[in-house]
Amino acid sequence: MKIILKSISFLLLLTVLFSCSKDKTLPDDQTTDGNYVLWLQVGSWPNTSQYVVGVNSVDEGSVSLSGNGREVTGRADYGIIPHKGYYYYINEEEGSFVKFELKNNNWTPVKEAPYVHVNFASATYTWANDNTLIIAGPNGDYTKILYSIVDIETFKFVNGELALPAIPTGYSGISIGNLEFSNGNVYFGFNYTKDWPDPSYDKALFGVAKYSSTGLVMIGTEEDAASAGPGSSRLWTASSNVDVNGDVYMLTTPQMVNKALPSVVYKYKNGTTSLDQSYKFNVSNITGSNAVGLWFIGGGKAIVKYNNLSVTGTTHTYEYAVIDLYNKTLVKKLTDLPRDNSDYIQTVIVEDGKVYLAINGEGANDYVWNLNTTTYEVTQGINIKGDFDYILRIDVL
Amino acid sequence: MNIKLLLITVLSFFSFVATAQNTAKILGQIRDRHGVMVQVSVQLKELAQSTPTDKDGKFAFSNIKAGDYTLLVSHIGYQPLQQKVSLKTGEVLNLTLLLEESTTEMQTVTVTGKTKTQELKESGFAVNAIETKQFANTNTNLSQILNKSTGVKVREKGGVGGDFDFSVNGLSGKQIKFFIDGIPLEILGTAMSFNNIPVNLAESIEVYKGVVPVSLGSDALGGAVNIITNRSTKNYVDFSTSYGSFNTNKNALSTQLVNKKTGLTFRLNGFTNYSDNNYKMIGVRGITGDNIVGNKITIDETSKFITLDAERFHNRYKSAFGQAEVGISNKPYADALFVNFSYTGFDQQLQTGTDQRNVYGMATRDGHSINTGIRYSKNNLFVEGLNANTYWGYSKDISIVTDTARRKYYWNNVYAYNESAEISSLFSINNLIRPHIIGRTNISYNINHEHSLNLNYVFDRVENNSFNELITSSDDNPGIVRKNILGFAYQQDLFSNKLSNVLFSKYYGLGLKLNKYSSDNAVYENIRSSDNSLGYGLSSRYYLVKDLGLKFSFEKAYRLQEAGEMFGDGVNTVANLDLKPEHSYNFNLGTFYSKTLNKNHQLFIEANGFLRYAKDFIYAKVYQSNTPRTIYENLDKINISGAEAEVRYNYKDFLNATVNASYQKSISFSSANTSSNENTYNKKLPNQPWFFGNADFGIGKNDLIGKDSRVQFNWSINYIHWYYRTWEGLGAVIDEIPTQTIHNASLTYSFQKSKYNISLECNNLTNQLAYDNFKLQKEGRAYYVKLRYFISKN
Repeated sequence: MKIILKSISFLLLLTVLFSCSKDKTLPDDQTTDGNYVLWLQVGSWPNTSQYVVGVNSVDEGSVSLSGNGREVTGRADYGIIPHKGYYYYINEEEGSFVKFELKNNNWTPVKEAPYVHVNFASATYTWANDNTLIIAGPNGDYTKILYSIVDIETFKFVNGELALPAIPTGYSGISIGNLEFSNGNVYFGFNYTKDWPDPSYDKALFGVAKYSSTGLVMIGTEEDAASAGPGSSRLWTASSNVDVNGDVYMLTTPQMVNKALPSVVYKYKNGTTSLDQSYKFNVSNITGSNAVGLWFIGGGKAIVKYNNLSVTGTTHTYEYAVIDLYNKTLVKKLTDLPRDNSDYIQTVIVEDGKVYLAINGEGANDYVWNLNTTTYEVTQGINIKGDFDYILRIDVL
Repeated sequence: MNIKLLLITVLSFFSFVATAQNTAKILGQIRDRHGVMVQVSVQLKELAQSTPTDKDGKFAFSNIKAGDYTLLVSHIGYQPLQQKVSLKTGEVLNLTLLLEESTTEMQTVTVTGKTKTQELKESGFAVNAIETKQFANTNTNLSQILNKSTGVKVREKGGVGGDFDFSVNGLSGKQIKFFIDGIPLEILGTAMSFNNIPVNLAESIEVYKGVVPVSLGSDALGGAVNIITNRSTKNYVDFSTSYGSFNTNKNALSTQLVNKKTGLTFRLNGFTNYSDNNYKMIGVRGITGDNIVGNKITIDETSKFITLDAERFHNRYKSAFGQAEVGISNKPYADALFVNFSYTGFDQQLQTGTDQRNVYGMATRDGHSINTGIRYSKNNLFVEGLNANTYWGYSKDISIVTDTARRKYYWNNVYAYNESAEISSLFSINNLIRPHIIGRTNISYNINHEHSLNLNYVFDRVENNSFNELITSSDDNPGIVRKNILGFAYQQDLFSNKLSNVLFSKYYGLGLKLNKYSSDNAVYENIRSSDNSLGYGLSSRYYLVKDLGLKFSFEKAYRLQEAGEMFGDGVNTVANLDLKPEHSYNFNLGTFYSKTLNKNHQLFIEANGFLRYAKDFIYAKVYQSNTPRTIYENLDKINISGAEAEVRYNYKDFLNATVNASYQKSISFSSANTSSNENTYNKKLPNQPWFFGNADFGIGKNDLIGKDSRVQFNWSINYIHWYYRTWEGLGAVIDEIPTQTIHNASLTYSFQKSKYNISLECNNLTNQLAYDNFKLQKEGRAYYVKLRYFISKN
């Protein structure tokens, strides 16, 4: 019997030894469900998890996920639509369209309806008005471009297909980016793709469609040889916008399509349905590298994010610059910011003239930065503590 | 430290100690009426020493003082034997002892003396050795049996044939390797997985935790599982059929025909499994609306979600395996020379993704595999004590995932037309074709009764052809993986087997080849890479007193990188030519106590503690999920510590009880940034059970209903403590998977000396909501009946 007791004691001893825990949850400066939402990725694959955490201010202080925030993996992804206090998301796995809110560290579906149409992860979106969302994206095998017009109050969907010209011989797929709404028209960029590893169509393609609450009717398409690629999807990164005059600006992001061609900003004047041939802004010329994202900050100025190819030996190669879209000039390279290691992610927000940039810095250098829109100086804001893989996106709701 | 130097020093030391004394000796051989008997336990009663017989049935007790002694010999299925001997100083006694078979050989619980599995448990390795005989009449498969043993957790998607993840002391997936009679199990094809193999095909199963003997030649980082099949030279037929809930039918056949005169032997093994797996899902989401025709819905304003309990409707699984082996045994030139042919096939409907919210209604997976091989073994080849065996086999394994339906299914078996496929958005018929060659040669040499050597070589070459049949008809750039694994072990059994040490070293040679598209030059390039690694380890066992042993084992173990991990696929995975094998320092420390009282009460207790320092874990780092590019890096460090214990008790063949518990703590020390630590640093890995246990209780009586009959009742409880689904300490709310306790019971009636057996079984008796990964629900209460016919003749 003694030996049994001895064995059990030995086991208990081991158990006690192994279960000594050092984990402590430290309080954060900010633990709220404020207007600003940060999305963070934690862990290595296959154990990656996405968390959302809300903060009241991004100007100062710090935040971490210790006892704060909510895991949303599987229920939502950071390719998502923020709008007036809520997020809208298509869950393709569940076949649903969901409206979420983040309150008291809780990620709650507010309204949900069955939905099946657009291949959401490859789609993009824009707003026809505050209540009407336009989502456009390919089907599953990328052979056509589908759209849904969504009334976000009633969850009524109008689904259809954009009547684009047939995919040219030799190409097997189609992709879409840079979706904008202006003055009753819907503008977008697109591209033809081949089966990997053959290169995609090496010209920039654009389309315009007439909007009505019952559907989109194609007006026309055109192409330009100065650049290539459809531009980015606003779900992940903005690369287009409409200014106060109703003019549409679209940046092409050819880094995934054709590395030899530059990033160019194209323009549609308000109410027109063909490109303003007098306006082409070669952004690569002034930044020295291809761009991946473009965010209007007012007064014809925009922030452009680009991959500085001259930086080697690190994955932190992405930089930001302020450019003047009206005068087609460089205003300032934001060299005081640490270099970022993310590319197509939603890292810039503009709110009432204030501009914030979330930067995945090297080491623990993860901050939201405030850009002064007069001097274009940057100041350090909130510190995101506890190093993780990525700040995935930042939103102001 | 120079490892070779250390090895030589230790080796010389023990050899010196061993030869320093010189007294009397007992040498002997154990035989039955068919020939020599291996792994039979021989005890020297007065000195409380015991030793197993070797491959020639021989045993030895050295350094014994003169006097009168009693030798006790016992083996399962045989009558125990006692032999008195007298020894004079300097005498070398030579004995041949003959064991008589007992008449009740096939009874469920007849354990006298040490069985093979018991001997293994009392070796230096941290090993679960399980005799499957006790489960032969139940409807179970190998993975369910292993799930009841310490340190092992099998996590299933649910249902017959469902995907599973097998973990040993916290390491799982590619880190655990599977074998059948020492040959990598992969050679028999995809369907030959542990959740599919019926219990009747195996005689015993061994699970090596962290430290793996060289005879199982593979890059097993976390451990290895070896199925031992029946290798007796008897004629036998073992046929069973079962039927139960969810329209589940399983059949198994294992038979052997031996012509004693000519040695010509013919064996046939096979099984079929079928199940609709249509168990009920509780509280899942369906769809309803005005616009439903048949089971197709057109989504409009009237469509809405409903919550319901629904039967799984696309979950059928079927598989079959057949193997024929023909050869000769017990010839002067070969103890065994066999050729075999086998076929496996499976066909599976896929019901969900990794998460049960993701419902499929059309996607399928099917495949088949053909295999042929030859094996040869000969003991005392050329010289006494030199034993050799070799196996060479070829297989071609085809597995196809079909994902072409333009449908989105909901749990009430209603679907909406969808512009995307079910599993991925892209429509595909993905083929994976793998031609595979495996060769294994094992040579052992018993220098004397105290020292032996073992050399094991494994050659493994596999080509991975993967392509979407809708786009292309072949793979332009198949990856080729070639492994050469050489192991060498030295074993010493000293002080009359009181101390046993095994020192070993393993060499891993890896060659990778891939025809890869280079986007810079726009051409296909032939890339090759090779890697050499050297692992080593030891295992020791020491009897403190009779029946009480201490054991320790250690290994620096490797898992070699795969072609896809290193070269990428050019589309979503970026190449990383600097990728290294992952490795782990594995430590086990344990103790065991085995006692038989009054010949009737048998008690066995074991407790083990373990540590795993795993480094350079190969993980796909998600570059960013919207540009779905990943790169495999040697990224993670994980430290696992834990303890486990088991107590077993038998009273004659009337009562048996087993209770065990396993605790493990896996801590992540990964770091995405080299300069600082992640949020997950020093945190428990999510979605991993960390405390679980099992209890088994059996009671049986012979001749209760008629002569030569037996009634046996078994009750088992499987307990899993709650665990985190998301990272501990992160977020205001941490999701948990709650504690689960599952009860199973079975009642078996055997008659005509276990020739005919019928059993009734109920799994998940309390109909408790059971789940493993990500709260994916498993079966509720289920009933099975199994009929088994077994006959064995010499």
